[in-house]
This record gives sequence, C-alpha cells and structure tokens, in this order.
Amino acid sequence: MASSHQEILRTELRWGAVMGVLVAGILGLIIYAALALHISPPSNVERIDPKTLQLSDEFTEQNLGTQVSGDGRVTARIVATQYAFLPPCVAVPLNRPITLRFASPDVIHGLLIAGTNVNTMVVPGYVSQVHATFTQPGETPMPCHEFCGLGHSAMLGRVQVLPADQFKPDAQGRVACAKH
Amino acid sequence: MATEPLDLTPEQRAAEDRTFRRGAALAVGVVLVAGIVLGFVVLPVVQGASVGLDAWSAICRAIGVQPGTPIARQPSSEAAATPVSQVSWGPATLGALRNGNVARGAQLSRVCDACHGAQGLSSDPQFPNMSGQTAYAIYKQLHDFRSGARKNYLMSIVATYRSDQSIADLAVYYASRQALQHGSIEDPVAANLAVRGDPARSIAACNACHLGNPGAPVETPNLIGQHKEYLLNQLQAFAHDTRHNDVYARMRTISTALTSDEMERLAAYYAATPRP
Ligand code: HEC
Ligand code: HEC
Ligand SMILES: [Cu+2]
Repeated sequence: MASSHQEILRTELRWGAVMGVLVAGILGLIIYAALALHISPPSNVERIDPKTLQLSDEFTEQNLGTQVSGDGRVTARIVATQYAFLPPCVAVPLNRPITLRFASPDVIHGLLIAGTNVNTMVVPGYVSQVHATFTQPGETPMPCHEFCGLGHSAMLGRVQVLPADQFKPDAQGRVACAKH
Repeated sequence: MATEPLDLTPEQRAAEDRTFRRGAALAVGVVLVAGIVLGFVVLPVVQGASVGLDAWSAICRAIGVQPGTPIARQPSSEAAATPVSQVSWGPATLGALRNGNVARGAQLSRVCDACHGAQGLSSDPQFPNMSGQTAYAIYKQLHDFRSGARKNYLMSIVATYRSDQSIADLAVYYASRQALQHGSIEDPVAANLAVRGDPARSIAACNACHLGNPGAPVETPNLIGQHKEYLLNQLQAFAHDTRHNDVYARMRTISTALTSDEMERLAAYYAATPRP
C-alpha cells in the first residue's frame, strides 16, 4: 500500500474529524440530558471523616435507616461498606419526597435504584445525598455499581417502597422494611 | 508497487509541524475554554435557575467553594453516637501498634497462658488460639473487651485496666508467633461459601475479607487454624446478636444469612484449612 505523504495527512485529518464529531456528539448528549432532562451528578458537597464514621453522631449504627422527623420530612441514612449496605433493606414511602444520605467508611462504592433518579457514587470522606420520590410500590434491588473489592458481586441492598398505610413510623419516627 | 519517498525537505517538515502544532493548540484551547464555560457557568446557572439559585452562588457551588444543597434544607440529625466499638484506625492506634514491644508483650502474656496456652495455642477449644492472629484483630478485641463492646465473663475481667500500649504490646507479640499447621478437609459447601460466597443471599465470600486481603476491613481476624468450637460459637453469637462489636454489622448480617449447617461446615473448614 503506497500512499503519498499528502494522502496520509488527509486520512489522519479525516479520522481526526470523525473522532471530533463523536466526542462532540456524546458531549452534546450529556449537555442535553443536563439541561432538558435534569440528569446530572448529585450536587451536595459535604465532608465527613471516614476513619471515625462509625463513631460519628449521624452515621452511628443506631441512627441508620429511615426516619420521619417532627416536621414530616423523611430521611434515610445508609452506610455502604465492604460488602453490604446497612441497613440491608431501606424502607421508603410511596409518592412522598425523601432525602437519601449515604456514606462509606472504607472504599468507593456506588449504588443505583432502577427506574428512579437515584444513582450515585459513595466516596469515603463525603456524604452523598440524593432527593427522590418513589412512584412504584414494591421491592427493588439496590446493587453496588463501583467495584469495591473481592466481595463486590455480593453487595446487593434492597429498597421497599411502602404505600402510606404500610409506612408506619414508630415512636422515634423510624421505619423498617416489612418482614416477609 | 511503487513507493513514493516520504522524505520532505527540512523546511517543508518544519512548516508542516508548525501548522499541526497551531491546530492542536487551538483545538485543546477551544475544548478547555468550552469545558470551563459549560461546566462552571452554563450548566450550573441554567440548572440552578430551575431551583431558584442565583447565578453567582450556582457558579460558586459548581467550583466547589460553597457547600450544601440548594434544593432542600440539610436534614438535621439529633442522634448521639452509640458506636458498637470504640476502635478507629487513625494514626494514634496504628502508631501504638507500630511501636508495639514484642518483648514486653511476651512478659504480659504470662497471665494469658492459663487459658490461651503457653505457646498461644490452647488445648481447650473454648479458648481461641492467639498465635498467628493479626495484631489488628487482637488489639480490637482486647479494646472491645475493655470498653464493654464485647462481653465475656472471663475476658472482660482480663482486659480491664490495661493501657492502650499494653494491648498493643500483647497484640504484636501474639501476631509475631507461628500458628499451628493443620490438615485440610474436603467440603464443597464450605469451600464454595469461603471462596465464592452466595451473591443471591448477599453473602460475600468469607475469603474476600478473612484471607488477609489488603482491601478488607483492618480488624478482620484470621480464621485459619482456629478451634472449630470457637469459630462456631462466634458465628452463632453474631447471628443471635449476643456478640455485636463488629463495626457496621458486617458479621451479624452475614451470619444471619447462614444456615446452622453451613456455620458448622464453615467452622470445621477453617479450623482444618492449612495456611496458604
Ligand atoms: C480465664 C481464661 C482467660 C484468660 C486468663 C485470658 N483469656 Fe482471652 N479469652 C478467653 C475466652 C473464654 C475467650 C473467648 C471469649 C468468647 O467466647 O467470646 C477469649 C478471647 C480472647 C480474645 C478474642 C480472640 C478472637 O479471635 O476473637 C483475645 C484477643 C484474647 N482472649 C486475648 C487474651 C489476652 C491477651 C490475655 C492475657 C492478657 C487473655 N486473653 C487471657 C479466656 C481467657
Ligand atoms: C466484609 C468482610 C467480611 C466477610 C465477607 C466475612 N467476614 Fe467474618 N469477620 C469480619 C470482621 C471485620 C470480623 C471481626 C469483627 C469484629 O470487629 O469483632 C469478623 C469476624 C469473624 C469471626 C469471629 C472470629 C474471631 O476470632 O473472633 C468469624 C468466626 C467469622 N468472621 C466468620 C466468617 C465466615 C464463616 C464468613 C463467610 C460466610 C465471613 N466471616 C465473612 C469480616 C468479614
Ligand atoms: Cu461496594
């Protein structure tokens, strides 16, 4: 295959242009999703020390799970750790806004709840916060989607979306998953 | 096939290089400026407007100098910490272990011989073997016995009034000793749980943590060569919540998912497995 210097140059430029168009197209999609569909990474910036996470007030083991505060706002606090979520099953209300707060004491984890806007990384050192409203009742899986070590494939949490008559806070405002 | 020479004169080459350099610099510059404008100005301002954020705070938040979340008030938590264990792996703890004195640990360990054996290998299977255990695991368990996070009518007394440094000395002493060599057993059920776990039941492979992997929790104890009875007792204690000093319920969650037959098999499997 003989090619003149000029030909090689032209081919390079042509392929360069193809790559440029591809990159621009993908970027365009991301920008469109961000502006028109409001899909973007969670925007909360909040630091927390991973080494002492279990000694902290908010992410101490007792305080994890779903809680309804006095003013009726619902918050779920969840720790993503090797190789499980705590609590392993998160109870959330149907058609009612909820704030999900995640933290990790060890390595980077991630999570995703299919069919909702909940999809975030959980980076040690930061609180990942997502606001969501669940509109489909029933149970959905919440897998870890960032490789976090040898047990990653078993790191699978659950979310139970409970209608109002089953979403019953106890005296402390806490709600746990229904047992099967 | 005729080959045209690719050689250009030095002047032609220099001219071509210049054009390329300019083009590449221009392309990189355009992408950089477009990225900064899009990421720090256009996207935050447009998205911020939809949640009632003024342009300036939207830009500050995008750059990362303004914390919090604009959409809702940060939820407050009135909870007070009630940790299941007081141990954290900060510089103080790791430093104490790094400066652990093996000779002093050996002296202190005389008290332990009655139960844990003179070589750190006990004859009564209710008393765990100490030799070959990791220093981190021994440190954490002694600390937990002392703080009351883990309770045992014998060990709780032994651990009271011990300083952090004595605990660290004991830990490095036992960790420096050789464990027993053991035989091995064939048990596909146990081996499968140990090596692969059972993702369908959210059980991570025991070896993902218990084989001394650098990625696992620091305090994970070594199970290999431990007494079968002791391992089984601990698995049952975690499952029945009579032992709950495992941070973030790592072992309580796993042991609740195991059947009692599986616990029995796993205890036997690890007790008999030779060290790698
Ligand atoms: C009177 C008997 C007795 C003496 C003396 C004793 N221990 Fe223990 N030790 C036990 C028993 C029993 C257990 C198991 C507790 C349980 O089943 O929860 C234990 C457990 C432990 C553990 C937890 C091991 C693990 O893998 O979880 C450590 C660490 C330990 N002992 C260290 C020591 C040290 C160090 C000394 C000496 C300073 C000592 N023990 C002295 C009876 C004793
Ligand atoms: C996520 C990592 C992880 C996995 C996976 C795991 N363990 Fe553990 N295990 C730990 C940690 C951490 C401890 C120490 C708990 C503490 O701090 O008291 C522990 C403690 C134990 C103990 C008590 C040992 C002692 O000396 O006191 C036993 C027994 C045990 N695990 C068995 C198992 C078995 C069997 C499996 C598999 C079915 C398993 N573990 C899977 C992390 C893990
Ligand atoms: Cu994970």
